[in-house]
Amino acid sequence: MTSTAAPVAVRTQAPSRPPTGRRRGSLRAYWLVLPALALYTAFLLWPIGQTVWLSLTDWNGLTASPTWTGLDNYRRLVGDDRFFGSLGNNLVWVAGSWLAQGLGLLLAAVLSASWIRGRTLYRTLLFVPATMALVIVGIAWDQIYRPDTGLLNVTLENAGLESLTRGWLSESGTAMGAVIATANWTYYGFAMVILLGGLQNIDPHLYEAAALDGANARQRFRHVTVPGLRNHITLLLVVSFINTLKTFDLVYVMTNGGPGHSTEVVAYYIYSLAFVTHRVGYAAAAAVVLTVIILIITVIFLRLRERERP
Amino acid sequence: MPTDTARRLRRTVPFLALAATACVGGAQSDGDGESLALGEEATLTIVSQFGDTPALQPVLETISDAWEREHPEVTVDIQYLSYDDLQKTLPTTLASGSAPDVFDYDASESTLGVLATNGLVHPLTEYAEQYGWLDALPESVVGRATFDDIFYAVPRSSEAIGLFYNEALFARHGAPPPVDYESFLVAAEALRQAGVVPIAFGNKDQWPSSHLVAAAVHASVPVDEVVAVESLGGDGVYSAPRLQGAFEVARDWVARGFVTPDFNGVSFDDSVKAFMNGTAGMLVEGTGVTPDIVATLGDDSDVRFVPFPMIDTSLRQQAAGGAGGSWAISASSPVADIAADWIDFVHFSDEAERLWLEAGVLPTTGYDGAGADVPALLRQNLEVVGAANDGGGIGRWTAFSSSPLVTDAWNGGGQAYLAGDLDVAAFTASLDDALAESRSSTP
Repeated sequence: MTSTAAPVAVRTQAPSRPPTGRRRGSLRAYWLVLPALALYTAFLLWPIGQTVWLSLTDWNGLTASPTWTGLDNYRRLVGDDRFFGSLGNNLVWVAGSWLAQGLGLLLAAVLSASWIRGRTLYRTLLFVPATMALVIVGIAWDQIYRPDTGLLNVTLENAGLESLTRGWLSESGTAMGAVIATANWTYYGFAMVILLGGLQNIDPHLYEAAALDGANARQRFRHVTVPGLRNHITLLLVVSFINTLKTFDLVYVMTNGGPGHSTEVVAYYIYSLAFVTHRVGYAAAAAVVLTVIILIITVIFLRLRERERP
Repeated sequence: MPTDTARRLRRTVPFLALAATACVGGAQSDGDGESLALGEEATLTIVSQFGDTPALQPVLETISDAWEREHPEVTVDIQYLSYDDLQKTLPTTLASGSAPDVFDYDASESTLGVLATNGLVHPLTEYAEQYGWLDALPESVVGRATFDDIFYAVPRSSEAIGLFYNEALFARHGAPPPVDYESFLVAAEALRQAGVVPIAFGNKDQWPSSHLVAAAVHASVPVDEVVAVESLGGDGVYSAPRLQGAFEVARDWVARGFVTPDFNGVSFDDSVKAFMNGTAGMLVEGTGVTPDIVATLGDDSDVRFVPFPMIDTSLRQQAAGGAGGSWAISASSPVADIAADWIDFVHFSDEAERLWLEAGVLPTTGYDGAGADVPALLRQNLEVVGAANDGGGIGRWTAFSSSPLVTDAWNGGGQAYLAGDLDVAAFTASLDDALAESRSSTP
């Protein structure tokens, strides 16, 4: 009895009676956290809570008091073809953003080669698009895609490729691709910089060892570079996934979701619901669903990634 | 035992949360407060949609300055926004009680009507009686700013969609003047064969398609049938055979190559520029673009404006359109009396009416332009409005009159329909669904 009692007493007493100095320290920590917590609550948690509450109401944003409707907005959302159409456009965009990451990986691999002169200049120039405001980028590319005097069509004409010229943003078959290409132009540089950072962390001896084992450049890339960049690639996939699902500005500036609804994404649809048709409660429900989708897919992605770790 | 620090912490956190709640969401003013009387010191804030028409900004400032000289105790602060920006920001600022005292908004059920029926606009009935506005404005104009039998705004411009054409370009390519629908088609074909875009049309902004289709609708369907569709209290539907027929006429113009290629990727501004610089021969638009055309091309340009020719010649001349902007007072304004006096001066004084007309804004009163120095194109604007008023009447803005839901359905659907991605049955069905939902949610 006595032999077992002593350890129990130790286990129960140790956490409940910390040294006085440590308790004072933890209280001070609470005070230090408080300003950030207050801001976090005011500008994130509270708006999120309010959005969830609004999603359970019928409100046009103009009257003082929303009407409680329970889950009606969510039931309606289930049968909303336009919502799922815009979500589908988001997923197409996600897939399209992988091209930018592939390009970023390729550029990172090339620009990490020590024999290239002026690497820093190339890296800087390639990174510049990532620093530009998306609204400005949208306006610029809108001019590039202009059917009559746009740089793209003019270049194609001068190259004798008139048959390829078209209204890039005016045809439902090409508009989405044109917008995604614009987004990718701003993203590949970011991916390149992240991956360059990862490349510098790979031990050069691994490449030497692989070369001694007879691996060619492609095999070294596949079996040394890619595994060495796995964490960075995961980071980029998650970041691009989240950014793509909440994307709004390029669509707003370049197409207004058109032609038809061919480039409409969920965030633009939510904006349209809230500020064009004054269905704020329904817009809030769509926003909540979008947030939940982003959370679920991100968690799944990260879990799968964790499982792959040796 | 919790320490004093912990107790203070527990008391502080709920307070901070409460403070945070005060940061989010706004309180709506009921507008029942007493207004400052005319003669008291005040600041009058105004937001105008002349951000789209810079040529009209100095006109408003000239007239407003004249009023301010008579009321030196009042400071007038005017802000200009594009209508697009105004539409996106004004409802929220009105709902939060922080809107400008006077705002310039389109008078229709789908725009001002939504704000008025939600209690965000100051009723003007008493001011209308005080200043005699209802005697000066025709009943049809008053009706456009009246919701639930309450008069809410002073429509400040008459607008009608007609046909602008370049007379010199027509003559150069042997195109006949578009005096009737047949000659309109012949002219369009002649221009097309000459390599000139017959009709400048840019639908990237989505709403211009409604003006193009509206021209066909009002040339084919009696105004009372149009109004029955374009109002929440009506019982008309877009899938009615006559309306569908008119929609198909507009798409036929597209199919025959009469409009700007890739129009869904061309902005409205660029299409107007294309017409003004002579790369397109015609422009199917409202009188609202006249000030810019006159400002750009001068008083003696080759541009002419005629009624859009009737397709159904058994009908008398009609036109799409109605009122443009309108002056309204926000429900939360503490200076409503002063605002009403400003509106009266800016819109109804003789000098103001003359200045507005000379700048290209068509009057909503019976003012005939006597004594005004009016360019020929503007005279033609007046004649087109007069012809419609004397004929079958001025109808509505197609799909932009009844409800934001219908407008939203048009915005995406109109692009797809004119591009041939949607047939007329599917397009009108989507408009009817939006209209039915709007009507069912209207008390």
